[in-house]
Amino acid sequence: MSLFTLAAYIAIVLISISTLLTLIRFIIGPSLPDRVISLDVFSANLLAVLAIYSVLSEEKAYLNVALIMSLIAFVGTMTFAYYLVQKRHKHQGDDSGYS
Amino acid sequence: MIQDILSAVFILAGSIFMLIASIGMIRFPDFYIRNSASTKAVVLGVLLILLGVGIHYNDTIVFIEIFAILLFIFLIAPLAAHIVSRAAVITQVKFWEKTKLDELREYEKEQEEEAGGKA
Repeated sequence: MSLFTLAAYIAIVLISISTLLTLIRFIIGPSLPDRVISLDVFSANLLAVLAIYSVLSEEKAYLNVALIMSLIAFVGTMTFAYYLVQKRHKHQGDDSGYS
Repeated sequence: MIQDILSAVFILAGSIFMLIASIGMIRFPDFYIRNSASTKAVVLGVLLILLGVGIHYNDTIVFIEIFAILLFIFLIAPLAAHIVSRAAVITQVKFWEKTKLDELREYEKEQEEEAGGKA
């Protein structure tokens, strides 16, 4: 095992820990925007793992997957944000808010 | 040899930034602070990791792909953070009690006055 492979494995371990922490925030997050943001960070973590795995397996095609994944994450976040705003406009008048 | 060391340093630095971002996600008190912290640190982390991958391959096509991914992420991350924060303000997600909200309150008052003038 070369030094570079070891560094890549350590990086994958660190990103896995950060994915776990993000998942905890996704579960306990008190409001819906919290969950949207943690999903965003989750997909960025997945993108980073894909990039490092493409280095480990010497397979350049995984970078294309990362490119598509960044686009899909963007569309998902936008959809959730518009859904939040629309829901607010529908229930205008009751100030209870929701979580 | 130097290429391997440089690439490993970039990848490790990037993953440490990702870890810092998610520690911020856990520790910070309020949605808006968490949003700011996670967006900035995640963008820097992905930038460093993809640079490390590009240095490892040392290939023009790979650099073009990485440039495309980085372009998307640099366009997307501020936009997504802004729109989700705006949705959170509209749906009245609670602020941290130490946040100073004077400017937001002034803005809301102006908006109400404009709406009252029109009606």
